[in-house]
Amino acid sequence: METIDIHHDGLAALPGTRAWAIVGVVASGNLEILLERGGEAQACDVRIETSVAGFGPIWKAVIRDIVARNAAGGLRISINDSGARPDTVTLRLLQGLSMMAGA
Amino acid sequence: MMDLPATILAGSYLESSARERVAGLLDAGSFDELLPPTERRRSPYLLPFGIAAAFDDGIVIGSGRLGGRPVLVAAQEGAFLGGTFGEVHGAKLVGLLRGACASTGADQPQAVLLLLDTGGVRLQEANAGEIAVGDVMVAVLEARAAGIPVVALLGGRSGCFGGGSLVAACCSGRAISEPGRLGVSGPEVIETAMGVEEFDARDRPLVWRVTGGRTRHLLGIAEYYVADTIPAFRAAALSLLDTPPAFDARQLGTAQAALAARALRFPGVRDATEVWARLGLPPTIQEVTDEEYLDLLAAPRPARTERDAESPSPAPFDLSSLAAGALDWVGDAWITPEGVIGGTARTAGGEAIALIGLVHGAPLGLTACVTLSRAVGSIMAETPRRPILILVDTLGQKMSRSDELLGLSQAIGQVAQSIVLARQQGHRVVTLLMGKAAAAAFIALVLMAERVVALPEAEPAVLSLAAVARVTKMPVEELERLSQTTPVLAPGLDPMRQLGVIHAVVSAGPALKQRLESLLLSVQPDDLPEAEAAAGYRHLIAHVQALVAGS
Repeated sequence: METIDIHHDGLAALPGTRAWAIVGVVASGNLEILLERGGEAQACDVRIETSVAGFGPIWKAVIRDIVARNAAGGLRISINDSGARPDTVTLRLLQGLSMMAGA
Repeated sequence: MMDLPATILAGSYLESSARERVAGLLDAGSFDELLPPTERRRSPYLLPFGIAAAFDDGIVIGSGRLGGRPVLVAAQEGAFLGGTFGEVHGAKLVGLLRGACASTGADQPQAVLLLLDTGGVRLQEANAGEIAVGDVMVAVLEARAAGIPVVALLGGRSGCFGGGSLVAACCSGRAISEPGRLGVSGPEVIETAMGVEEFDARDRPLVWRVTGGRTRHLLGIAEYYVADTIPAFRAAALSLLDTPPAFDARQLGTAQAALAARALRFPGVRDATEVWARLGLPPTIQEVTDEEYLDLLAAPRPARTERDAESPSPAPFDLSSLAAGALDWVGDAWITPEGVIGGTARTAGGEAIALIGLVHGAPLGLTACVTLSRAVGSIMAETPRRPILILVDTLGQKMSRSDELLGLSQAIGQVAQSIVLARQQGHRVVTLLMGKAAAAAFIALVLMAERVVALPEAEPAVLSLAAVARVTKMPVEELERLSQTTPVLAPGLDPMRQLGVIHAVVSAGPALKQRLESLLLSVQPDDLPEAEAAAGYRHLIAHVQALVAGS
């Protein structure tokens, strides 16, 4: 198991009012992502717990890319990963952000 | 990516997640989740196995409305560790069911829906999962006794196996789709234990002919057969709510008679094709569409009539041959070829004790179950409130394709229901664990009793560490080291005692007899210190129960 904490600042604030959303499931090659509104409006904190160690740089790149292209300020993201590929991670994150920005 | 549109939610039940199933099943927008993932009630036992623990421990619970009626719902996520029962997972379910009974007022739930999708007990916390399954079964039966139907919906990717199948058997009704398989031992387990000749788990059509929804429905093991869609399951749940059978001796007797008749009608049948032939159904029944299948059943057809087999008669049994002669009560007892014993004993003070049991390491098969649950039924009918002693030394559930096909889960479920009903009707029920007791047999014959006494040589087990090692890919030595840190993992007497399931370990001799007599003849069971190792589990149950009752 490896735990990775990532903090981003100076982000556009996430729209919408939904308090939390969860997407995905902890299963082989998949992950669950819990998104919660909270914290500073321009910051995004991400904690990843993954069963596959050694991919910290890739996680950081994926998260950097997501927060750069989407309004993710004021969000706490918690991930339980069971070896999801980066493209799966990106799709799940986008799905979660979309749910949070909705009603 | 968007929120999933309604058309997808209305699609395959099998392919949907637990949350999608709940959202689609209940009235739109009515679901209110208890202990949502934001509370992070995660399993503490998965970290050493390198498994990321899900925020909801693989089960979604809460309240909502179905056709306008308030209901409680629990949905297992079959994709997370096979939807298995762990400690947190189980406590959420037990708390929900107990809360159903404790609720009052206008929002008192009119039913509990269980969306079971499970391979059974979670290997990484096997003892905790096993105990939770037992508690769930008792809680289901208490809800039913309080007039609240508990409905099982079976259509998930992990099917409904192991302890899950016993939970399903205890429910007031079941709806199943063809992909939603139901059985005690899965095909792979039977193949591993008994060889490929007994069950070739790679033969997928055979797997479905034995465990699949159509076979379960045809044999009367599930009341409703539904298409693999969420609306179909919703419609079936509404129907099951309207016609819940009571949980009483009469209803249980009827169900037992139906199972016994099935066992005698299809003795030793090993493939559903033989069942179809006897029922006058075409051999193509596995291939037709769901609509065609239901039409075939509705059409009149000539059923082949053959003479039913006869039950073997029991032989006299010497009670004092058990437990090193400690049980030398005066009485008479019998034993069947399957190792089921029954009878009556009298203590030195002349008090009568009813005996049932499964001894000599015999497996718990379908016929044994029929005999056991009938014996309990007779005790309830003929000798109300007489204390019952259950003597247990069994390998575990019988690993047999034939028994599985004919409904072993229902049969073991009936044994469990008989014992719980006897308790509800005022019989003291004590189990004496004399030797082995594994898996489903442990659940039915040990966990359903009020008090459990074990001989020092008893060997309760969910699974051996070697079996856990095979599946989890963790070396046995590492598992043994882990077992020193927690009682939830390793088989054996001591862990089960630490978890509060085995109440006393007593050697064969006068002290054993005295202990059993005092437990059996007491008006109230003695108060026990609560097991420290199960404190977290108990607290979570109480927490959920209070949330449900207060909501």
